[in-house]
Amino acid sequence: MKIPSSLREKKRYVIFDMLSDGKKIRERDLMDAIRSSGTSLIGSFGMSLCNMRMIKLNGRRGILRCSRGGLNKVRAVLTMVNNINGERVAIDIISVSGSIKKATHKYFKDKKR
Amino acid sequence: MGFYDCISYKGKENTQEMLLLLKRYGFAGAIVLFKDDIVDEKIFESMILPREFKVFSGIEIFADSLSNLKKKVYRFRRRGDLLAVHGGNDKIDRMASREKEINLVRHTEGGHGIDHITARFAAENGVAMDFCLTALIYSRTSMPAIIGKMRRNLILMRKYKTPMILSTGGEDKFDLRPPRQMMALSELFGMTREESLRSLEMPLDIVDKNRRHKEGRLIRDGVETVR
Repeated sequence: MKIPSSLREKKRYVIFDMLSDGKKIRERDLMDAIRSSGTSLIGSFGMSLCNMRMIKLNGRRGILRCSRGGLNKVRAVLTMVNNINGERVAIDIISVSGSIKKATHKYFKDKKR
Repeated sequence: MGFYDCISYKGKENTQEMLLLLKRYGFAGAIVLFKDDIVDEKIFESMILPREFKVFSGIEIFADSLSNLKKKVYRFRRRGDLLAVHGGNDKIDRMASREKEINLVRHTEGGHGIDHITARFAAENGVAMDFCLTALIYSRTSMPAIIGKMRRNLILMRKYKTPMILSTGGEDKFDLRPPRQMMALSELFGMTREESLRSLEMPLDIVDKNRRHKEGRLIRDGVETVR
């Protein structure tokens, strides 16, 4: 069932870049790493408030959806990610957007979701 | 004024890569801390440094005893733009906070953290305390303990107005983080936005004060030759 847009939770789209040594990183592995570091940092309850979901991952750049209130926590969680499947990584948040359309248009060349 | 980060020197290429990345992250400059046995301040002359990016050199003293710390402070006090001490030991932290020649104590989250006496001495002598985020990022087993110590240190520093620095303390490019993410992480142990902004700018204040002191302009705190 659809909720009216005024009652829906406000969201933010975090555009990030991954710094790694070149090996391709799968979306699932990245999300596992984020969940694991998030749970150890802010706990399951904190993670549930952040309401994170991966929207897109194109090579090293991606879009992560989160709730507006949990944006700062998401920043902290992404800062804590340092290892994905034994490979060292660092996540750099490039920008935060209010809509997928703007985020895709500005930071992805293919402009498709 | 811009933000400044404190990083450790681990080879020429590695440091060069880190400085370029720091520039990309939006830092205005960095302080490269040399370990006390490999001090080479002239290495920057042979490096390709980013444009409009200030690089300062510092020395980090590693001491295992108080007498060793005193000897090393005496030896390195006139060298580099900043003199730091690798803390993490309660006795070393206390001793370092009493020395006016020392500018920075790093890794204070080690040991039992600082106590009220150390915080007060540090405030009186102008010794800054560093919050190293790599200690937090790479601690898998004792993260709650480290956050707890950082929180306690922060409360004491706030009470006694001890200068504080927020840095990544990175040794390679994967340890570095952008300033906004550092601020988000510092919020977890209780730092306010204003405090974290101030602590990211603090390294330049220390370097500037040291330079004025070396040039003979700053006679002592509050007394300065203007002309």
